[in-house]
Formats: sequence, C-alpha cells, structure tokens
Amino acid sequence: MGTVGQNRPVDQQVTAGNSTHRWKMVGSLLIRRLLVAIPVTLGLTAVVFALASIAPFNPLASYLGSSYAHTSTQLREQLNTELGFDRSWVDVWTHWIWHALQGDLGTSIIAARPVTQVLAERIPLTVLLTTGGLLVAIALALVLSLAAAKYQHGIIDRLTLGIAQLAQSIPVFVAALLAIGLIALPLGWPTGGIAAAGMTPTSGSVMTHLLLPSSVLALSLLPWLLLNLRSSLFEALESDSVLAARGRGASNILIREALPQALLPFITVIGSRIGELITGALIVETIFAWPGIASAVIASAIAGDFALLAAVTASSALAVFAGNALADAAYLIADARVSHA
Amino acid sequence: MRMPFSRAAAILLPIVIVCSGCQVASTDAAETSAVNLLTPALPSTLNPLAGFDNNGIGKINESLFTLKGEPDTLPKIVPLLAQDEPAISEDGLTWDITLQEDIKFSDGTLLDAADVVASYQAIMDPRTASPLAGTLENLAEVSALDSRTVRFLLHEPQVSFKTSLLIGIAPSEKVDATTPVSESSLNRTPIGTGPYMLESFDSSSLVLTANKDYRDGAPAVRRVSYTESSDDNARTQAMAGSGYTGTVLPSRLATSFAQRDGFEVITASSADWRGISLPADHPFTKDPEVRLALNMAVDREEMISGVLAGAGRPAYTFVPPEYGKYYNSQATFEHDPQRARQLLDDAGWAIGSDGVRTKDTQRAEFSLLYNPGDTLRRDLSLALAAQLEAYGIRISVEPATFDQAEPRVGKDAIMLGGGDTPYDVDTQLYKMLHSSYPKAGAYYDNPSHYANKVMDQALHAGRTSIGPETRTDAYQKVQELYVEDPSMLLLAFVDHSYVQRSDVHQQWNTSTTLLEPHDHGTAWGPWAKIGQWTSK
Repeated sequence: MGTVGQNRPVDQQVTAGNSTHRWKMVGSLLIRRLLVAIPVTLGLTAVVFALASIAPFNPLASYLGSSYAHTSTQLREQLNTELGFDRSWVDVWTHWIWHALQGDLGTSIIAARPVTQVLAERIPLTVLLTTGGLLVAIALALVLSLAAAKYQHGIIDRLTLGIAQLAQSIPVFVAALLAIGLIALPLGWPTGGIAAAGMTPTSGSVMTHLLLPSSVLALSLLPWLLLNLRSSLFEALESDSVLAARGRGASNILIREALPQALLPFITVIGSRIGELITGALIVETIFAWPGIASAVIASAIAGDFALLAAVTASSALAVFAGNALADAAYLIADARVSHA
Repeated sequence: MRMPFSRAAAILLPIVIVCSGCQVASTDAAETSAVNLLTPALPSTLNPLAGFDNNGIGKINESLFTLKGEPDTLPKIVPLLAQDEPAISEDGLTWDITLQEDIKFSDGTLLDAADVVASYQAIMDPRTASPLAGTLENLAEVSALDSRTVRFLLHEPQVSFKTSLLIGIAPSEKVDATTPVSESSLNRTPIGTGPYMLESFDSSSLVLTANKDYRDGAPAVRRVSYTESSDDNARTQAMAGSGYTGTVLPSRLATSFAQRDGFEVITASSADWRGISLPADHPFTKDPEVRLALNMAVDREEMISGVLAGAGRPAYTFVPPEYGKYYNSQATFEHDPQRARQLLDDAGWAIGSDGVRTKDTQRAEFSLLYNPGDTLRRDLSLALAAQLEAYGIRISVEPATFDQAEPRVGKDAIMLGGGDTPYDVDTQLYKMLHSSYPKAGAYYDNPSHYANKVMDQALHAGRTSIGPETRTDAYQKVQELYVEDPSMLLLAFVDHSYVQRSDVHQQWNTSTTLLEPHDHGTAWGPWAKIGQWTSK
C-alpha cells in the first residue's frame, strides 16, 4: 500500500503507527486460537471414535479380508480381544489420548506400521497438492475477476460467470477423469501417481505429476473464490472511496483502489474453504492415485483403525483451525479498521 | 488490462512445456529389464505370517510347496523349499517334511527346520492375531525333528492339508510369536528365500528387485514394480497412456483393450464361484423340489454374457471342470424352463392371482442379501430376481454387509462368493456341504444349513482317504448327490481379466496363468510366476 501514500497520507500513518502493535495482536490471536483448537480437536477425536464405534463397520472383517467369512466364531473372539476391537470406544480413546500426549500415536492396523510413519510419508504430499490447488485457484480467481470487473457485464464477465458455473456443476471426479482423457493422454502427461512407471519418485517427478491433480482441485475451488471476488470488486467499484479516487483523477483505480477493498472478504472466503479443500483432495487423491493422507481417512474409518483415524481427523481439524486463524490474522494485518479478532 | 493475461501466459506456458518434456524423457529412461504393474491396492504388509502371498506364489518369501499347472487345470502342489513329497504316517496324522539343503535367506542365513516351525507356530499363536490362523485349524502341533526335518501333527487325517503348506516361511530370528503381526518388522522389511527382494515400499509403490544370490540364478526380470491406482477408470486410462506393463481390470473395462493395438487381454480361469444359498429354514426354499426347479429355471449363460460381459463359466456345483478327474461331468443342470415350471406346479406351488406362486398360504418369495460394496454381486442378484420373476417367484434384493447378514444366514438367501482355498477339492467343498458346519466353523460355512448323512459320509471319505481312487470316487459321489438335491443355486465361476502390453512377448518368454482363487490382482494373472520368465 506504500505506493498509494501520496494520495492517502492518513492511511499510511495508520498503517505505520500500528504495525508493531498489529503483529503483537496477530501473535496473541494465534495463541488464543491454538488454546481453543487443541481441546476442540481432542473432543472431536472422541466424537469420531464414538461415531466409528456405532457405525455398521466391522473392524475384524476389514482386518481379515476375504478370510473373515470363514473364520470360526471362537477364533474371531480371540482375535477381537487380541486386537482390542472388543473394548469400548471410551476405553480406546482414553488409551489413545494418554499415549498421544506422550508423542506415541500408536500402530495402524491397516498399514501395519506406526501411525507417525504413515503421517510423515503422506501429509507432505497432501499439503503439496492442496497448497498447489489453492494457489492456482487464487491466481485464476484474481485474474478472471479483475478481467470481469474491468469490463463489467461484457463478454469476459459472462465468460467468467460461465466458467464459474461450469466448474461448480461438474463433479470433481468427472473433471478429473476428463482432465486425464482430454489433457493427459493426448499430451503424454502422467495420469496418476507421483512417478513414472517403475521409477523412484524424485522431487522433479512429484512436481510434474502434481500439475494435473492440483489444477483439477483448483477448478473445484474456483467458483467460490471467483464469484466472491467478482461481486466484492463490483461492490468496491461502487464505493465512496473509489468515487473519490475517480474525482481525484487517480489512475489504475481497479487495482489500486477497488482490489485492496475487495481482498478483505476474499481472505475470509479462502480461510473458510480449507475444509472443502480437504474433501476435494480426497476425491482427487483417489482418482490420480496420489498417495496423500486424505485417502487414508475413509480406509481407516471403514477398517475401524482407531489409531490412524484419530490421527487423520486430528490433523484435518487442525488444518481447518489453522486456515481460519491464518485468514483472521491476515485480516488483522490487511485491514486497519479491524481492531480485534 | 491485457497485461495480466500475457504475463500469465508467459509464466505458465514454459512450465507446461517443460513438464511434458520431462515426462517423455523419464519414460525413455525406464529400465528395459523391468516390469511395471499398476495395481488397485498395494498390500498393507509384506509379512507372510500376516497373510501376504499365502497361496504358494510368494516372490519374496517362498513356501514349502508351490503350485504348478496349466491355465485350465487344477494346479499340482509340488515341493519348493521341501525336498520331496511329505512322508505321511499310516494313520494320516503325522506329516514329515524334509527341507532342501543349502537354501539361504536374502540376509545370508541358512534356512532350517526352526524357521518353518517358528513361522507356523506364530500363525497358530493367538497372540499374533494372524489372519491365517483359521486356515490351520486342523494342525495340532509343529516341531523340528532335526535341523532339516519338520513334523506336522494333525487333529484328523486330511489329504488336503497340503494346501496349508503354501504359506511363506520367514526367518525364525525375525518371528515373534508374542506380539501382533501388525507390529512385526517383517511387514516393511521382509526377508525371504525367494527370487525377489524388497527394493522400496512406500504409500504409492512397491518395488521388488532380483535376488542376485537366488539358488537358481537371479530372475531375468530384474525389477518388478507395483504402483497403486485404486480407481478402475483411472487405471484404464493410465494403462492406455503411461509406460505400465500391465494391470488388472473388471472385464467390461478390459474388453476395450482387446481391439487396441499393442495390448492383449488375458483371462485367467478361476474356482471363484458366485451363487446364492437356499436356506433350509425358509418355508419356500426348504422344499427340495423348489431348489431343483430354481437350478433348472435360471439361465446361467444369459447372466454370464450379460452381467459378467462373457468373463465367466457356468457353475452348477462347487467343482469346475478344471478339477480334472474329480470333476463329475454329469453333475450339471440343464436350463429347462418347462421342466422347472412343471416341478413347481407338481410340488403344489400354483400361480396365484397376482402372478406369484402360492402353496397353502405361503407365497413363493424370499429375500436375497448382497454385500453393497460389491457391484458384481448386486448385478447378479438383480439379474437373478428378474429371471425368476417370470416363473412366479418374487425375490426382494436387499443390501447387507457380511456382518449384518450373519444373523440371517440359514433364514434368508445370500449372494455368496467362494473359492478362497481352491487348490484341493476337499477345501473347496467340505465346509460348504458338511452338516457339522456352520456350527463347527463360521456363519458362512454351509450357509443353507443343508444336512444329509450320505453327503457327510462321502465328504468325510474324500477328506480322510489316502488311496487316490477312493478319493476320486468319493468326490464323484458328492457331486452326484448335490445335483439330486442342490443346497445352493450356483451361477458362475468368475474369470479374472488382465491387460498386458503385447510387446512383453518380444522381450520375454512369459509364464502362463494359474487357476486362480477368489483373491486376485497383479500378484496373479500372467505375472504369478514372473520369477520364472526368461529373456528372449
């Protein structure tokens, strides 16, 4: 905002005078949110355990696979006891919490390895996919809505609306399969996974394999971001400050005046879409065979794999909290009018 | 405002070009002595004691015996780590097996009897919670007689115990019988005597590499990779576009490759049957005439061409023709709508005013439960309901998971699948037909609650007889008895479809498929014996 200083000396004073104070506020905001997030996340894992325990899934059946149908009742009881499937969810949960607080997340039954290993391997890939998708979506939303605002109700605006509606109405899995069929196959791009057939994944191969899935994910996020930013821009262009700027004869009003105003609600929308992002990632990960954490959510719930289920729910809950907290913090910095959050 | 567009294009275009470029380059660089398979699901564990590769075709951990056979015959169970056939005592209860000399694990240690004993004891020990424990119910004790001889003591004589010798052997030092198999180090770092060793195993791929010190020389295919892609459609597209050697697909998707250049579709026969139980406690299906009529009424060929897209063969009994001398070619049902209607009429099931047959006050209707996660079972159930409606029989098809359906076994019909342990006619038949089940086993054993003393005798004679001829006769008799009074309505043996690039034949002398069990995937198909492929 520094470049607009000559036109808005009052604003600059506010920003400069408050900057250290504002960073402190951000710090205290994040700490307060963390204090709320941790107990809520723990409570959430309890709810998930309770729900999983009444869900009509039989953990032993998933554990034994096809041999379940022919395992005698006596042996089933033995196995249930041995694997702890016969304990109440409260029991399992308190046991899990106690160990989790000491840093031991337990062993996943379906992956047959410690949960921390599963998370360490999969979370970075999901973070990469979702941040990639989010960044592409934000960039597209910015470019398209600016174009739409420049020529309000013109052809570009209508096209933008069309794109948003199309993106909203195509289910993610259809978009993913279309992307593979129409883009990846003709161009010889990778259709899934994180490395070419039989190759060891490298950071380069992960990047090339990331392009299509994160674009599809971006497409699923696009309508919300795009339509929101577009209407905020339209609103901002009608506002008094823009009128004043026009009166001053300022140049490049759209970017210098309207955009900063419109970005504020946009930040909130981005923060609130984090949950959606995780759901979208689930489908994209399945179709593109992307070995991230989202695909472990369903598998662990169906299999009654409490240790893994708790870890993945806790991490997605924390991700949503973090998204919202960071959006609010960004708000605090971006908008001088906000004094507490 | 044209600026942002051209700027965006200037940034994005090079990325796009670079990405497509490096993809092509990396495919070219792929090793030529590698086979790369696309698999719907990677195993969660590589531990043979936790159930990985337990059908005698282990690539990392070999078993005492292995399968040998043509695609369309019941495979023979032949010695692998064992030196010879087992020495069976006269009462059939003691099996002594001598191991081959000088077999080394990939960590350099020698295979001895202690390894075999430790592996089997761990599976039997409830503390390990091994999913294979149920397959060893007849094993009383396993012990080492000396460093090369293992003795198995059985509860009762069982010729088919040989199928239990197809489980992979792990080194005793790595086996802990006191902790659950899910915590074993063998899950991620298996050590075996087989032609392959583990190269890498992460959440998206499993890579095996040739064991250079393998006793028959390192396998010609130096590297086998399995990459996970769970979605059937995504796998179809990846198979068409990327550098994968092969994959497993549902038959309706696999057929799209049959006409395409550069690919071949391989269909493997299986003993993997689908059919419904006809419970003895249900007022309609308890009538033997009804059960016989249903078996004649159903048009199995139509279901196979319709629901299975041709990838199947009709099943009349649990024994497919691949079982050779055990197969009774007379034991079939002719599709005869006229005769079926006649049987129902004669048994007193007359068509009522609403088109449904009735006898006294009982209507000719029953519920058919299917596992909702299995679209094949759903489609077969619906097709069956549609076919039988024409005969005045009403089936209400309901989804129910296996454990939801359990309390209803014996009262309602259930769409079932089988052939988990098909490598002996005894393991294929006994639990499905013997009247001591399901009491002696699990809910889905003998799901119709069928009881026939003569049948029990024939099954028992087959199980315990050591002479090959009495055995053959016993199983001929079993099938004869079954078609006289069928306890189930079996529909089809489901064939498994695989797609493979046809250029593998330019490079390798490949092996054939084996008769497959219910479970299958890229560990099976044309790659079941990939360690035996040779270079051209």
